[in-house]
Amino acid sequence: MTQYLATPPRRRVSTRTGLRLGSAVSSALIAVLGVTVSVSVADRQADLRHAVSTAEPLAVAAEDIYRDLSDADAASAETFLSAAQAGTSGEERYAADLSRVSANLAAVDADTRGSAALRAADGELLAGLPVFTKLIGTALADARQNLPVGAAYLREASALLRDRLLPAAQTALKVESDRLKADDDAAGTDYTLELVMAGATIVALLVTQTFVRRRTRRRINPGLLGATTLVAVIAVWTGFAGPDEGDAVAKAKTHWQAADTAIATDLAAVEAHGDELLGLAARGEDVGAYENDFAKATATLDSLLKNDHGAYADDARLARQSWGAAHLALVPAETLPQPDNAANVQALRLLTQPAAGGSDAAFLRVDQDLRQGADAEEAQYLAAVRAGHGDLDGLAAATVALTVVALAAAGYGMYRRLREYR
Amino acid sequence: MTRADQRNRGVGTALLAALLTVAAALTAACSTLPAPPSAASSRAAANPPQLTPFPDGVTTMPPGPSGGVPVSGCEKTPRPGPLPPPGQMPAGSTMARISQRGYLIAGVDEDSYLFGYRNPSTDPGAAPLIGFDIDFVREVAKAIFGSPDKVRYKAITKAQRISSLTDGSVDIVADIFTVDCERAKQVAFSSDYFDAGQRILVNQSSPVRSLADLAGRKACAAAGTTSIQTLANPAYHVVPVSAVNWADCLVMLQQGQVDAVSTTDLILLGLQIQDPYTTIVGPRFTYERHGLGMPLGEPDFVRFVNGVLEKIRADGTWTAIYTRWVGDKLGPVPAPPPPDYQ
Repeated sequence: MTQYLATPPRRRVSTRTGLRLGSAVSSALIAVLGVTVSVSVADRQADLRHAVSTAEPLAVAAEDIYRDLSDADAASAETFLSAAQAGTSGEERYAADLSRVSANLAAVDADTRGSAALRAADGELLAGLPVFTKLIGTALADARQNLPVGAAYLREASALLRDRLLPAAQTALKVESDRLKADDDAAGTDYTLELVMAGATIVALLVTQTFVRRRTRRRINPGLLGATTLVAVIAVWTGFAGPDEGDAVAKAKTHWQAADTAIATDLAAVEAHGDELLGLAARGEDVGAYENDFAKATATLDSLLKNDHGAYADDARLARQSWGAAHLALVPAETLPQPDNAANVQALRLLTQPAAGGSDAAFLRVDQDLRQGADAEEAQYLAAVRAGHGDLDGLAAATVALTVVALAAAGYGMYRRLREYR
Repeated sequence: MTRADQRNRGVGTALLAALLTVAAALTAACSTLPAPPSAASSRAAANPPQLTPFPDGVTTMPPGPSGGVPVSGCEKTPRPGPLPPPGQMPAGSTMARISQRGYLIAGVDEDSYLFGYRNPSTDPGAAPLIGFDIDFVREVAKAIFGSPDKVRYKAITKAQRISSLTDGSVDIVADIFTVDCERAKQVAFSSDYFDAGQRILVNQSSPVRSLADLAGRKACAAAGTTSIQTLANPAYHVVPVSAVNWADCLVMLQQGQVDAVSTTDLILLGLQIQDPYTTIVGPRFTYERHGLGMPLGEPDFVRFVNGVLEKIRADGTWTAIYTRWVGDKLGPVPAPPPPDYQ
């Protein structure tokens, strides 16, 4: 073997240096590739786990806080208007809304670290909620004694809700949604870096292999071949599992978007119902422009509904049509001179009782459809995220193991050659 | 030893160690301690902001140049002729037009307790609104049709009291309408059907007992009323707070955001009855006459309504209505206010 040492004086790189260099570069690239792929995959899986276990529940909690607060506005107005009647849907909804808001607020409150905006919003909600319920309680107590001042308390509570609590809930929702989006975005970046590095590693191994073959006249270095094969396994696995995971995350994001839209649509419906109820409660007073607000909210609702292709959207559109008709039926009670109580009693019944052909019934149907739509999309979101997580299963651990073995193989293969050129 | 040599010299081995270190660091990163709460957040928790809101649309008015006008001097109204029997209105008259329609259209308040407010009854056949003002409208309907039920009520806002008459959407307005010269240019008023004067509503425990005690304190009145203008009189040194309506003033009094509510005593009574822990104090410091509003250009209808008022003053109906809604809560039941004819 020493004869080969003497032959290459003209060569720019001595065999020994070349072997050392090839060994060092290949090993370094294998190690860096292993670290990069395993850390990246583990990170993505951690992001997806965080999305499913923490970020998504909190985003949904924040979403529910906003939605339930809006509904509490409508439901309290409904309960107020129907103080004289028992068994309206408003009373139950108000109680359910508030207990859900409290539970969700506790969940959001448990993790406000890292966001001053979220802490401020959370504080505003925690401080404002008891004031809101106090005002509603006063309004309801007054209503049961037929004291007109109750309507003023109701309006004050509604203004507090709309001017302070809902914006705070909106902030909380934004922060939680952004956190979820950050998880999804981090897990959904493409695998260019990993694949380029794998390619570079394979090229380095092949170059080293060629160099060894030329300089040492040996046909194939089994250690390097083994290392190349293992790196190729990592590359192929990443090349297939990675884009699968990326697709799953992209699909998940689409479902989340659809859920978001369904919820925005539902919020418009809840707001519109609140407006028509408060409009009836405040009728004849120099306050509010609830009918205008209703028109605005329903315009939003209609444009969102038009573009909704969810499974429940058709039924929601039908219900929205009957709601439109039911609301028109209320207008005479509001604008035409009335000879007796009939129109009032009828308006109250249609607005507060789930009677067929009434606003309340139509609203409840729209609301239910949209919430089911949102729930379905959220379930699909979770399924897609889980699928994405599953696509990467085993890759991180396997990459570590393959890298270790590849390093050992390359090291062994090169050690044998290097020993010859000491 | 060759294996020791290999370990010392193999570049890959060192990188493998690095790889394992990174993996260990990753595992450790999952169990970091939560950051301690900052000093700012614990201070905020110890002293959270006060959140009891004001009713929507509340403003504090700067003192203005205007003051209460005791009696405007524009109360003169056409003297009534003989009252035609119900159902036999003179041909071509405004009353005949209303009679042909089959019902009187009245613009009334829907949220003034005791005056015009929603009937709590869930009986569809009951009147939609009840109150002192409503009873006078029913008397006018009774004089036209023979039946007090032939009225259709249109709930109007304070701002609509004049516009609903000028645009012809109602025949008559009964909505605590103080007679003043500005309004008398736009609508016709009947003779005075109730007198009232501005007084002060306070919590029973309040030291305020008169207008003088209110100096430097906050008093609430509804926007766009003569009462808020009176409170803005610089001579009284009151801090006027303008709310959207009277119920909002009561809310602010109950929430401790104003020291008093001030307007005519009959409206104050409507608030006081809703909260027995408040009381009306001090003498009247304005004197306001109230009329039923009608469109200009229908003097026959004004004379007719004045005739109805003349009749019910005389036959005890006025006293019965006053007793029904106010009774002796503001002192003994007064005699009906005298008319002031042209």
